[in-house]
Amino acid sequence: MSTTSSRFVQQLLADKMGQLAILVLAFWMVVAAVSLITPLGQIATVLPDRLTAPGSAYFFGTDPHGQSVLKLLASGARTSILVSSYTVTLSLLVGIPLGATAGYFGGRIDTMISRVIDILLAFPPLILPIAVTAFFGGGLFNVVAALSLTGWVGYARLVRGQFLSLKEREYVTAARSLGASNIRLMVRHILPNTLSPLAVQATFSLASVIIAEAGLSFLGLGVNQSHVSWGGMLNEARSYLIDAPYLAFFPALALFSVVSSLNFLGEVIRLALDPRSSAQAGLS
Amino acid sequence: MLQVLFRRLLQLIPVLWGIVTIVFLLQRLIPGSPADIVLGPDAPDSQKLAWLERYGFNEPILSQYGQFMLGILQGDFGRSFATYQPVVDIIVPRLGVTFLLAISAFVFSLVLASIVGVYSASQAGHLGDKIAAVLSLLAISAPTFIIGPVFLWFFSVKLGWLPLLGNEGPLSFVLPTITLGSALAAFSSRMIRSGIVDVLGEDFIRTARSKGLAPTQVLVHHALRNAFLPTLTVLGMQLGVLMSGTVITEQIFSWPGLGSLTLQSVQAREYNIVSGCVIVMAIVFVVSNLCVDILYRVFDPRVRLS
Repeated sequence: MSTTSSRFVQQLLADKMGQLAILVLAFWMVVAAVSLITPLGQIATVLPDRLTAPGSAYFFGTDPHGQSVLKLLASGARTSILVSSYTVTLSLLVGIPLGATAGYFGGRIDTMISRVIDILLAFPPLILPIAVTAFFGGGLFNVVAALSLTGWVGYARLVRGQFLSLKEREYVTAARSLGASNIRLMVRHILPNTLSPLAVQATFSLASVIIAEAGLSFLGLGVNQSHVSWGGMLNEARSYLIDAPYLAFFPALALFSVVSSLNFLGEVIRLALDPRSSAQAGLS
Repeated sequence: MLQVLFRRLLQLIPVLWGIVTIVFLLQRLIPGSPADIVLGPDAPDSQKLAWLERYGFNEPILSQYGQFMLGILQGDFGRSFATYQPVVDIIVPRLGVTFLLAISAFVFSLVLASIVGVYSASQAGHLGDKIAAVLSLLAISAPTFIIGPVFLWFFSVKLGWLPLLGNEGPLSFVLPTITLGSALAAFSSRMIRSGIVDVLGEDFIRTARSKGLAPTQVLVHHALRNAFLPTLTVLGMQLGVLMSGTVITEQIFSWPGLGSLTLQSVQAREYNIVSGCVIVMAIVFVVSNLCVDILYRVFDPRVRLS
């Protein structure tokens, strides 16, 4: 793991795109943090100022309710970070134990878990979260639950595969012959070896969760009622494309910058883990 | 071959059962009585009871489950709360409109991906290839709900070239198709490129070149052909992804398909229609994956034999 991560850091810093990606992500983290502790987070509704074009009074203009687009963007960054980190954490918490159990014990329990995974994968992406939020309503909790409902599957499959092959290794057999319990073998001996691929997948899924949350909010099924979301801002902007295109422009740019940065980052991680593909990819 | 087909179809059964069960559970887990949600909490009790009875919601949950399952096996997805129309009759025409959009996006991305893929393979390692690589990564990063409004603003509002909304004539296909297909096009152009680069060192390419064929002809007729099959598989698997892409694309362009039906039904609390849409989308997804898998076996003898 340590050699991989050091190679990863080296590649990341050598890659111009990687540097840019880190910079963009750091920028949004700072914005989110700032909006949490400063007046930037307090979004006033100034009705007379509604739909003001970007200028000296409002840097990025105001929306149809007279709220500053700049402050909404900052608040949206917070929402994106909240939803994606909660969802990835929850998915890991569900996916790792289930995948480990399926891979380690095999047999009937493996068949059962794998069947559930097959069924969840039979829904096109985003359709099941749409169904859940359609039936139970939006909001932060429901959105995280809906996205985690399908989110754990990827981790479970990954961990299952790793456990399936690692449990046959000699060091596991050795530990078992020394009297280590199943739990100890799983947690102390096998699990640490699955961490680096898990980290890669988690990075990729941060991006996909941010897109999915924005998508749900765009459809009016997301966190709209309780939180500001870039997707929700984009949805509202659709009605004002003629008079106030800047309303769509800024959240689109924000989402695009975060997602492309995470994807570039994921690409760099993938190349670091699989040196063979770096020659083929035609990037770097 | 027939045996494989049969086994695949058999494996489909538990998956389809699971899809229907999950949707049933989700719909029945909605807190509160459906009568309260549809008729409003202030409606008289007798009216609520009659309503529950009409839709079978007053029966024990297991018998509701059985009827739901049996109904779907017979193509009956229940009835609309508002009009009492069978849900199937509402879904089917919308499904056709969505298919049109999905197929048009699929063809668009296939054509664009072939052109860009062949070009970047011919430029492998050079500037053109690198630009294509960065552009496609950007396109993959731009979700439909970003590209859509941007295109809409530029081509319909600014330039006024294309219709703003709805499905009226061939021109209204242009923006939804590009919006829905661009990520897929970007993704598969990378696949085609690496597929071509992989075979460029092979003997049959050298033979074709030494015959004196033009470089383009070698690329298109010999290399692209070989790169196409794996790409087609991946593209086929993405057909289902297109299905979920249509939900957002239809919302952007007010396209009268299954996706916008789903959203309208959510707004109107037409839960039977929502369930029907979700089940139909999942079935389309599963079946299209199966078809791609079988087609792959038909086209590639190596897989068929093994």
